[in-house]
Amino acid sequence: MSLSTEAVLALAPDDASAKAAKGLLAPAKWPTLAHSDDAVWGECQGSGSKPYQTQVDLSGPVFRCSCPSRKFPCKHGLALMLLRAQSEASFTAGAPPPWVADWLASRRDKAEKKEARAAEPAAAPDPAAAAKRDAQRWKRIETGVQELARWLDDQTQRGLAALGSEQAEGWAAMAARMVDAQAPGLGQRITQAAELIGAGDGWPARLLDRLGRLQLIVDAVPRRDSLSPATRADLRAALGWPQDREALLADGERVNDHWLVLGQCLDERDTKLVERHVWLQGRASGRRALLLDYSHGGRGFETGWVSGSERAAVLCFYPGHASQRAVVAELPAEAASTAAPVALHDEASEWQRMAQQIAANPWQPLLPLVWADAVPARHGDQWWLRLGAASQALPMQLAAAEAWQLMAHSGGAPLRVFGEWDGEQFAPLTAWAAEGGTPVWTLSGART
Amino acid sequence: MSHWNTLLQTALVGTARQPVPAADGMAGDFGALLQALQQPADSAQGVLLRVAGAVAVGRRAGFVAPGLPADDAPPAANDLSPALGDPALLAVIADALAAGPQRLQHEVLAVLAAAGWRLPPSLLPAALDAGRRDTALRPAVVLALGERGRWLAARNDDWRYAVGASAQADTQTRWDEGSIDQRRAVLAEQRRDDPAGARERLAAELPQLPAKERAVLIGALAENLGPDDEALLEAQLKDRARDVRQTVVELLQRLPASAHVRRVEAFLAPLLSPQGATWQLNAPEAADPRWKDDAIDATRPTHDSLGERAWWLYQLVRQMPLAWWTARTGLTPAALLDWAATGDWHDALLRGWNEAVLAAPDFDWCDALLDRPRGHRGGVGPLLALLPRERRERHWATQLGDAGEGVQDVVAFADQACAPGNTPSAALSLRIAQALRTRVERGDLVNDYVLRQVLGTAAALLHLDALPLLADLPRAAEESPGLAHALADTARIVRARRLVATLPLSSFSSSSLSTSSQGRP
Repeated sequence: MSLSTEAVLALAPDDASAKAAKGLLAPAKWPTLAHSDDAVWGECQGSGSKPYQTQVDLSGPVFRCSCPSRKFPCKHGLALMLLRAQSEASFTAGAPPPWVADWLASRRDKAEKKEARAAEPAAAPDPAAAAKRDAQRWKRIETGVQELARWLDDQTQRGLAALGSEQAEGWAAMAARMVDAQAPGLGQRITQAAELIGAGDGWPARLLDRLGRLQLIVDAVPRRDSLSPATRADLRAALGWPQDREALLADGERVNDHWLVLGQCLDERDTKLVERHVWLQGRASGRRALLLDYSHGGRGFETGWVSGSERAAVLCFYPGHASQRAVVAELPAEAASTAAPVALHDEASEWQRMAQQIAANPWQPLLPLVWADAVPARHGDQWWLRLGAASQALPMQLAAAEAWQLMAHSGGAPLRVFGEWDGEQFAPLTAWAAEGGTPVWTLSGART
Repeated sequence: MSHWNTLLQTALVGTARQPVPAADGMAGDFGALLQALQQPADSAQGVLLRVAGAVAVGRRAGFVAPGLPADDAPPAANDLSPALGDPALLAVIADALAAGPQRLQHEVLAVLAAAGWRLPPSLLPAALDAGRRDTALRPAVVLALGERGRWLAARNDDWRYAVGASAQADTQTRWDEGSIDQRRAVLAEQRRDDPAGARERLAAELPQLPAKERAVLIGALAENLGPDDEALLEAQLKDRARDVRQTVVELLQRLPASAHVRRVEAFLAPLLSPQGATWQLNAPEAADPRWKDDAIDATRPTHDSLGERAWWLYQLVRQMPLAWWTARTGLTPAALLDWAATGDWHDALLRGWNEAVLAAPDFDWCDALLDRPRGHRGGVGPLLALLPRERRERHWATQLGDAGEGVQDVVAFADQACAPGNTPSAALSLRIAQALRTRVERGDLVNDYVLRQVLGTAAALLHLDALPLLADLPRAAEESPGLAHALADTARIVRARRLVATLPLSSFSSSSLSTSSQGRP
């Protein structure tokens, strides 16, 4: 597999790593640069006398380096792959030296053991104990939610116009209370709503929208027993109740397909936590999926995905209506391919698809949208994405530097754009030229 | 959905003061849902938000994107020149644009354009930003932009400098619609074959122009300047803007027979009188009201280092062609400098002569001033820049010394004197590079912080032939971060320049050579 410069940079755990990697590109820094069919490796001269040994298992790509950095992949791993992307001729072909071969073998070993474990029958769960745990959690959530309902009512009785920065503490306390009540999803929604207070024109309307939708979750909790299993699963997701991975893999809906990577983004939640969204679309199923995972302390992500490429995988979808969140159940180590252009939908059907998603599960915070003929534009102080020939446009949420990149690639001509829609703003993640092929633009760097 | 607005009003005021509005009149299933929500069995708690939540979900599902006024600006025109696609070269250019130095930025952009390539879209914002920060870089940025880049620049006020007529447009269009640089280029071009025509073009335009543009465009008359231009220049001596008057005075100075020069001479000549075998110079005793007509200020700026009379003298000296001094006294420039050093008005004379030589270059004066660089080191670079390469490099060769001990100064002056895109000769570059390499091998970098900086400057400045000497400089196992950074930076610049020098000509360049005037170093 050969990654482009952009694809490698997309794997960087943060901007600082990407920048540091670019500083290591002089071949003089790399006394050894070599590759085999499965791996790329090199030795990078650091500040000490012994060079760092950097290696990449191309089946992932998975990185490993002897440097002391806790970032993953580290700057050496990124630089190695950047060199690979930019001057393949600098690499000699050959058999891996022991320090590479041993690692590859141990990785294969581990993968086999994991498969063997997966094949073993799982320890029989104790349904009674699980039910008891669930009941306890529901109880704590219910108590918390009653408190939240009273608090929300207080806010509306006093009126949103009375809100200001002096209330920030109270809102933060209520968000923390929800985390204590084991409903972190509600806490996050309160935090996000609090950020709206006093922010920009028309903030009360946006705040009312958020609080209204929060109320719908609050209302659902006492009625949970009357809800269908799928709706209850959606409710649990909205409450931020984590899904047990083993149970999900055992019972979840599996879809085997070739998955086109529509786009991805990293959101820096705080200095230690990075949230990654990877959006996929099945070639045969047409199903869209969100892989949501987290990286703590710059450790990076186990699997790298390359926007615009396609790879075979079995995904396991979360329970619920119109579920889009999924985990990878099986990922054959075959090479990713550069995909055919993303399947086209006309504008009307894309809106229809969105409406159906919302009707099926009104609590999904983000929806994926693909536009065939989209022209990025600046109007007033706001970025817009003009849709097709109509004069309609979506307000676009994008850092100025990225937005100018997107403009440069468009030149006023239509692009095919994929992004996330939160009901108010469209956040583009990937853009293809009208003729298709590899993306001309992908969002780079972490959003803060 | 006006129901939303009435809900919002209640939410703002608070349900304690205003009831939740009824959903009367809302038809269909949704209306029924809202009405059902507003008839709670037990309490009124949460009713407002419950209704708002239902409406919010409905609004979200039925979202209609707002209309935007139609964009009547056309999309970017197609470019004739191809965008560079080589990933290694692109990475080097991106890195240069992000991390400099300016000379490297200029070189990568100029080489790219000269070989008939343009920047790919992904590098346009970085290049336009680099030009925004650094005006000296702008001409090179503009050449590498292509139609797409110009289109993009027109959309961002920070990048206005790059907006102009298409480079593929005809002369009249570039004059009518072009950027200030393009208009100046049109004038300069026409001055070569048709000086009078260019002068008339300028004269017709002057009354409508802002001061900054007046100064820039009048400056274009320097090309093929002749006595016929005097009338127009003389008229501009009374321009409201100091920049314009300064430009005009410098041009008139190059016309020794001009009325302006004769008037300045009439002020200056009585001050200089023979005194036996030598000459006696006096400064004006009082300001002359007639000075105003020749852009000479009677009022001394408050923080100027010269005294009032010296200030008057300096202005007269500055505006007098240098040839007058040698003709009048029969002394060489060197002898005049020696004479000045012994008199009371040394500072005023030296400053005036320095500026006069910059306004109307005279190589003998340059040499003489450079041989006595004491006290005004800042002026050395611009003086050197005036000289042809061989005369200039004579000074550097002397300064470099046999052991290369003056290498820091030589690199610093050469950096000032060589315009972006120019380098010292291959021979001198090799001597400088060898001197630097010797110093590095001797371990001087460990304590010499100036040398560290000079190394990077030299890597960006010297002739390509000298770069192998700066590649692979010896590295130590234990290096301080500052030292390692200096060496890595040098290696980065050397590598970038050597790689960019391999840039092949594009298909566009071989068919059209119109853009290749910007030569490689």
